[in-house]
Amino acid sequence: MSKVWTIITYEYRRHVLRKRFLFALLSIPLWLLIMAVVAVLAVVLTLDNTPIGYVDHSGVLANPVASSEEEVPLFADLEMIPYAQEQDARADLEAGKIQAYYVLEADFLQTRQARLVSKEEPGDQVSSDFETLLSRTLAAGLPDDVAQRIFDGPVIETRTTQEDLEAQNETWLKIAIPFAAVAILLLVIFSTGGYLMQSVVEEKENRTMEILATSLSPMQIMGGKIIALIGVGLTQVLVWAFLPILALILAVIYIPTFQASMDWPFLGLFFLLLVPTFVMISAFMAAIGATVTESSEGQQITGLITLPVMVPIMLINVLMSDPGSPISVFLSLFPLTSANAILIRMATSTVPAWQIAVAVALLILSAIGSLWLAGRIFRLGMLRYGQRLRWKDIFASFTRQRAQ
Amino acid sequence: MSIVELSHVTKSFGSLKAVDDVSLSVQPGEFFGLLGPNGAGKTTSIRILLDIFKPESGSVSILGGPMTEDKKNRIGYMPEERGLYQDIPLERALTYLASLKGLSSTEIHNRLGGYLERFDLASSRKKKVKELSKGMQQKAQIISTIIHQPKLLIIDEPFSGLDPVNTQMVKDLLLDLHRQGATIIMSTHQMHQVEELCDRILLIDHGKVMLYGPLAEIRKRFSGHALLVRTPAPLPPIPGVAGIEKANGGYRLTMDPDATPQAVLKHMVAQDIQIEQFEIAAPTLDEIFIRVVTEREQPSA
Repeated sequence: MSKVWTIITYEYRRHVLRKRFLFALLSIPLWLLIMAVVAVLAVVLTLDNTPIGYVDHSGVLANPVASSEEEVPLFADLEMIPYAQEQDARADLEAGKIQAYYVLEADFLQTRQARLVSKEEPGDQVSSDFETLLSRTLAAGLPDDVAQRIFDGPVIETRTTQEDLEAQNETWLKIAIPFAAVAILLLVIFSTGGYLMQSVVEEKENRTMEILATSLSPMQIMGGKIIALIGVGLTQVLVWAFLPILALILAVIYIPTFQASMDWPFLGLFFLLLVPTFVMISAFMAAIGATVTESSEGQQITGLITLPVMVPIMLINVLMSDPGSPISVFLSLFPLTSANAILIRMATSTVPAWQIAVAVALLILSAIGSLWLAGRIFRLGMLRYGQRLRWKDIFASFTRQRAQ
Repeated sequence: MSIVELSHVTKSFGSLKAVDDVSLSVQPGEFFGLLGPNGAGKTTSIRILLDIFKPESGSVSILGGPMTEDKKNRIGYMPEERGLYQDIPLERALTYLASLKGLSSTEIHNRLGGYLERFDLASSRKKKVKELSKGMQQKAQIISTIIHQPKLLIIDEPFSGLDPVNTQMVKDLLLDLHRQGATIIMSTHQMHQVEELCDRILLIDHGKVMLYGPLAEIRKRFSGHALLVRTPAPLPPIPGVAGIEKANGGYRLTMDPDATPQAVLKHMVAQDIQIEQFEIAAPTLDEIFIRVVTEREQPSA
């Protein structure tokens, strides 16, 4: 076991400390950070905190109700200044003390028409803040939960006749998280899945493989390398997910309505899908590494493994519009496609529990099976230099084993 | 009890029979030479005995039985084509490979420094392996083969790429290990090294065993057809001698197949030829090697 541990720590350090890896690892959160900073800057630069005024002839805003929510600094509500006469409001508008003013005529409650006066087109915040003030004040007499319901709008739940298929028009987060998970899964598989192939081909090329083979069994070598690679993949996931998760945690702490959106079981399912998928693909890659003699040759074959992983993305329309169709169900169960298919389906509907259970079980079995297969191919191919391992040899080895 | 035993081992790659019914046994403490031309099946035989390849038929016993993970710690193997990670510092590469042989980090620390000093590599310990010269990499490879003080050492071409000084150093090291009781199986093309170091040899060609046994016995078996004679005066024709040619200030006499050295000597004494040197020309291992291999290639000649 200690030798396997030695392989794990060595391989992990070898991959993680590579400049190329560190660059790839840090560049993605760095890009996310830059994009976030640019987005915040764009908001800040267009932000106009000048107060707005209103002239209320209807008496609706006689006792205005201020926001009860804790205010987030950048997104604080604009200050509202009441005016008795429109002339005063206009004078302040001319003087630049307010950026716009609303006029509610005496018959406002009947017409529901308000007039907005400004020198140039005001930003979105002007109307949204004023509307919020109006609705809050109008709902002042209602119980809190009823008022909240009115503000949130309806939640429509679509159900099929099958009890377990349902769809909700949920918050954007509910859709964004599964897609972010798909993105992370693909990034990890495409950037790290190939490492094992490279490292096996490299060890064949520099002949270290012979030294390893006389120190450990092929299964130990393979097991150590794959566990190390899972570590590398998880490191990537954690680093890449760090910023989004940090943002989510901050959101959960500071924005109470976020609480409901944090889906911890989803996170668990994500890892249940990610880890076996990653193990299976890495094992296939290692097996390819063992059969070829140069890494360039291996890269041509890896498409056979990575292409099916992309199929759910190509068929995203089918998965989202017809999640119960046979194609969607097949993609959700077939090990090479199941992780992405399930995540995509989860963005817009609920995937039946049995499908998730079968998919995860098949994935774990496939991961174990591919490890075993890779171990065998590895043993056959690890010391073939300049001569590719042929499928015939691999099958021959199986039949030989059965015959023994 | 043999430390290594191959019994009627056969292994093919496609239609090529790389090892064809090879049997050999190596005794504890022996210095054994494994010889043969390129592509003869030496490396495949070594890989079979190391359990890297499974033979199609025949049996293999190493350190008293089948290979186990535990036995791997008692074996040192230096492949012909060197196996060291190129992109990492020398010390890290050696430490890693040594830890895979079951050494603790303290043991590695205690031993590695001494070996690096002895092989004049101490100043290069932080350099990447690929920055080292071929000879330095070769020495590093030797360190990784012996650092765990193996009971059985299997080395493929240990002297290639080494200058005479380093060759002598490696030779001394191997003799040291041999004296300390290690069994050594060496595969090489450098016949004079085999003559100097090995007790017994196996010559393999096209996967088949051509010669096998104690070196002295083999040389004796191939001698007897030539004599080295030194005389002050030119030699007259001698019965039983087919040819006389000048060699190294004397003569090399090629005898008829049925002639004996005793008969030739007796005739020379009877003829009153003054003899300064009379010696049976035992062939060098080089000559035996070439003769066996070329005879196999031209069986009709």
